[in-house]
Amino acid sequence: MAEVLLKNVCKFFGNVRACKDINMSVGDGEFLSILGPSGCGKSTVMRMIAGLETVSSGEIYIGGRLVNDLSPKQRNIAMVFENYALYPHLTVFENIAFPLIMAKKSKQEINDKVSKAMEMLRLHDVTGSFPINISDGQKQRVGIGRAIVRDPDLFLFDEPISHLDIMLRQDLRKEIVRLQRELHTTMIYVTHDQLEALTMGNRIAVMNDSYLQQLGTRSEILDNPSNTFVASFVGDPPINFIPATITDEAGNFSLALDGLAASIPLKESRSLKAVRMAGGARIKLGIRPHHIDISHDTTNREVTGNVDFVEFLDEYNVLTVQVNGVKLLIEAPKSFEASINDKVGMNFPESLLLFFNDQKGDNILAGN
Amino acid sequence: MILKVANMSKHYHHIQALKDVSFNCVSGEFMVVLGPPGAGKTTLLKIIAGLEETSAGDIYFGERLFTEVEPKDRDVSMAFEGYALYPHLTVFENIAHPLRIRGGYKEERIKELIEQVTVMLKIEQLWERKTNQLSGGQKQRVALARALVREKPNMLLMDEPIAHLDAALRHWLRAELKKFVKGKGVTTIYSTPDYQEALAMGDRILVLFEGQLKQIGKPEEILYKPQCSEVAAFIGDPPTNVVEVAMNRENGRFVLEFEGNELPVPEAWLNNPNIIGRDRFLLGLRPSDISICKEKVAVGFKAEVYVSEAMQRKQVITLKVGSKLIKANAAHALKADIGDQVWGRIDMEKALLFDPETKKAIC
Repeated sequence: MAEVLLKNVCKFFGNVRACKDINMSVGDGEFLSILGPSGCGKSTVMRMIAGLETVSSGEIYIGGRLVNDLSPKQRNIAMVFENYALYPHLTVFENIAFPLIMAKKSKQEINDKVSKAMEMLRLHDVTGSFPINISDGQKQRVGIGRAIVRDPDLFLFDEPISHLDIMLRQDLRKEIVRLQRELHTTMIYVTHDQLEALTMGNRIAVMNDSYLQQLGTRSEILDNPSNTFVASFVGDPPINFIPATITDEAGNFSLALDGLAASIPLKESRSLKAVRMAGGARIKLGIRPHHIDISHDTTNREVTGNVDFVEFLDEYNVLTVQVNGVKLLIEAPKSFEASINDKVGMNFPESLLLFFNDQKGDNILAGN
Repeated sequence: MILKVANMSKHYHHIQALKDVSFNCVSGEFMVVLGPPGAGKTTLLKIIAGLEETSAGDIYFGERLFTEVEPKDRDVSMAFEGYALYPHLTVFENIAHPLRIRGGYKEERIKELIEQVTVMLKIEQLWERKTNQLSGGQKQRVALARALVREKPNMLLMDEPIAHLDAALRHWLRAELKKFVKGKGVTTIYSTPDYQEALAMGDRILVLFEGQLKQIGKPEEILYKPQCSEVAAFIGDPPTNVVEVAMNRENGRFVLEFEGNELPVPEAWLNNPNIIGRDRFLLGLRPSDISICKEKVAVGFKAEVYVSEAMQRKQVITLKVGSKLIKANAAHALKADIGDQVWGRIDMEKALLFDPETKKAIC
């Protein structure tokens, strides 16, 4: 059993705060992604779980055991880093077998475990090759193989593929996902790439500036981000933010959108709840590019503007639409033909609006 | 025609970085050079800049034989990775440098031009910082600003200028950079390994693989009409699946064989002499053209689910077909667990065909 529990974990390097009040739990067999920009503290969290860093305060439990004072070796974990550090004079087989040889396992056990790992990682073709003769992707898989054979309770990945080119990243991503599904071992995967975190994790822990911003499933993070940081960091193309003022005309509420010379009515109970909880007239409205409904018809549309730029992509187009002084990003289907300077009309579906506190950036409806 | 590159080759000892590359750039064109790492993009740009010499071939700029012109006289503005900034000068002074060297600029005009580029690149608040106090992404943008501030160079060369920036900034800059450069009317060559960036920004895209020019054309052409299997296999998320199929003739009937599955040959192919004489092809199947079904399909193949990955708005299912892995798009609602036996339905009319030796598209 390898649940991981972090309770009020903090880490300071002298006066520099690296992690503060980290509370997270990872279920046995779960794949958790830890996502954040560089410097947010995600690697420090992983290193504390691994035992490579001490904890300044708080507790870390692995499989129910308090591990704060245990060395990495005593925690029964395996780590995979960006630089795989393979022994150049050993073959692929020998590199993977190395930890088992060091642990003085029997020849039978070594053969069994290594063959199984190589089969899983599709390395059987290069079993006798040396690191210098195999590709980067294969090298990284050997690094993963070396971790697998140790039968750890927990796998820790620290941005293992961010330095590889896109084709290789896609290739290895699916291998790691498959591996986790087959082994059912708890995995914690640190990355700064939001797409990687979204596709790989059962749940995602989003960090910024040493704090945990949100821990949730893919849909929770995307549909109900806890604050403007999470909303803007996760999702591509990134979310549109529009400062707005709540107006009340005889009980009819609407949002006057700053700088857009447009107003959208608020009728649904969810929106009205946000209005009540807003604690003031000013809010920050969030709407994702693929949620905006766009049309060449500009009559009876909430917002009208002009196409400023068309990003012609493969599955959809990303349009930049200028509305007075404000630029909005809209994800439009390939079938929607648009050219620069076209006039377009847009609707913002009320149920898809996100309401954030305009000062602190919290999601007004978070947890609701 | 403003820029003409003719039969350009470059080797470093025994490594052939560029092989016989020829293309033209129309005046004011925004040409994107697309290719994976190591394709030769940086080499190509450095040769045009004059920072490297060709091993063979010529470059013409208008009537001038550029290959004989000193780099400093080519009047090419450039932004390369690792291109040094002066660490003891402020951001403002670094960007002002090319203007001051040129001479003839009033201080207000310099300020105006620098404001324009720094606002676009979102670094206007960094004017007074020394460049050794900046992050990697900020330094990259300062170097880019320095290349863009020149009013009308002969050419603008940018080597992966926005590679290390976050997603929000990249979308902003794809639009702003393209508009800024087109507004100036400067012939531009921009390199990237990101096919989406190429599609989004290029007037035309030049696809480079292993030093060779594989295709040059408008974004729609690169996307919908790849001229070789390498281009097809590089574009798309996931990219087009390229698999080898055999064509057999049984009882007077033509049939395709793919990893033990039989596929019918479309009518249109039977009348094509280019196709009918062959016994092997490369077939290009787009992930969006493969449907996953739980029951046997009339036209398709049997497969085992290798892994499913949930993306933002779809699932990508990797299927094991014999010894090959094929990727297909599916809706989130489709349940596909590792080991599930399924069928992949395909539309043969939409399949792309390539020659297995030359890799070129068969029409």
